Amino acid sequence: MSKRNFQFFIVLLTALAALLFAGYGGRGINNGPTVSEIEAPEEVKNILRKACYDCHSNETKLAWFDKLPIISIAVRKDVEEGRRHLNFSVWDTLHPSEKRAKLWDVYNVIRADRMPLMSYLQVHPKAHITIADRHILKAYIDGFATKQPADSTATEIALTQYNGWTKNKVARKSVSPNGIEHIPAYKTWQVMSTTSRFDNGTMRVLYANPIAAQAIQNKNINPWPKGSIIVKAMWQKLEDKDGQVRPGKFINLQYMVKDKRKYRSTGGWGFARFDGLQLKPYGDALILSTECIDCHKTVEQNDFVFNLSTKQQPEQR
Amino acid sequence: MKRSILYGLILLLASACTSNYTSHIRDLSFQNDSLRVITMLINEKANTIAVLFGNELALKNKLAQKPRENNELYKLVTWRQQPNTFWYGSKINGALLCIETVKISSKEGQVVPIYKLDCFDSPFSADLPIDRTQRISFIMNQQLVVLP
Repeated sequence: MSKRNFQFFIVLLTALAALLFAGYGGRGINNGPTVSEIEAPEEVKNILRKACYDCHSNETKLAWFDKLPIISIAVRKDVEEGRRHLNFSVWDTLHPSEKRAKLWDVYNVIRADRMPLMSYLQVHPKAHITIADRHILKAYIDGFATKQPADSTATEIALTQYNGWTKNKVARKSVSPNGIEHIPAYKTWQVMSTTSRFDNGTMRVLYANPIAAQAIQNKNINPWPKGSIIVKAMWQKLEDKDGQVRPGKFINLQYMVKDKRKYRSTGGWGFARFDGLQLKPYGDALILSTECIDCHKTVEQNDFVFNLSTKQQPEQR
Repeated sequence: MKRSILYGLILLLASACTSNYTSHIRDLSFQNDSLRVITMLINEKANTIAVLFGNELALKNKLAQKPRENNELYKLVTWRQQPNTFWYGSKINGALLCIETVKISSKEGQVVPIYKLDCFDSPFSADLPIDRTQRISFIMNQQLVVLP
């Protein structure tokens, strides 16, 4: 190598290093205080710490390469997004029912191999969740399975609601903030499936409009055709001592409306929820464009639909 | 040799693309057509999940708490309950086990419920205690679910 080439090489190397390390440690991650950490068995916490805490707590530990420019921008975005979705350092800001829901969500995204993110695992192999870890997490969340006994209080609440509904039974007009309208004729649609949730003590009937029902029969559901609408009706479960379960209090109706252009940012589905007997529209445009899809991303490979029955008995891992 | 490996890889890729989840999805095992949901029922001991459907007349009379009337139709559709593949914490209707039909007919000025059982799973049907009167009573006495 000539002297001139050598000088050029050194300059190039210096420029590259300057580019890589410019702003190194600059606008990093702001680790706030741990206000109220989740209370769980130590073996569960250890799994959460190794696999989740970097993005889902205020105890983010950055590796040196996480602080490199360009990379650091992506890392910061992941951490901010992660904390927005779930932050184990401010666990007590959640309502007990939200805590339970988050824990089932955590287990399910892990089970679906959606978390930890593959891009994160590639550079943080210690965050890998083993089969044994999954068993520990599963045993832990199984402790939160919900059973609503058909006691006198729950039965009375359901009966009062029933009487109120039968006395004032009118088709209600209700429109979600994102423009999705409640369709009273959903009751005449095909029943797509029926589900029983032991994570939150609810039972559901799902309806498919004629386009969606035809799509299921034709196995044309990945993606679902434009105009498909799925409506889910949800009730609290009332279980007697013999294991017979019937619907208690009506909770809400939830809609998924397929239009890949109109709802491009939420997987091609518009989401809406109408609460209680009054069918009060839930949330605002921002919540409806983030909250629902956050959970439905777990089944992105199914075009974001959870509740279809499969032929094979799934492995409960 | 190289070409056959390439074809093999293409075939493998194609099969991977087509063996997505849709091939595992069950057909809709019961077409409710003009029937509407009266209620849903779960039996945790028997591990079954069921939906009771009725025709418009059945729903109307149930809502108005009117006595049985000719041409009311009820169908109790029972499935095996199975884990939901896509969400741990949820169970879903699986294989169709049986359909119980109650049709109200008029005979010499009296309404008579006619019971019919169609089973699609022999071990289940063998275990099913067929007491027609009891089953008719069970089906007819279900309360309409709140569905605004």
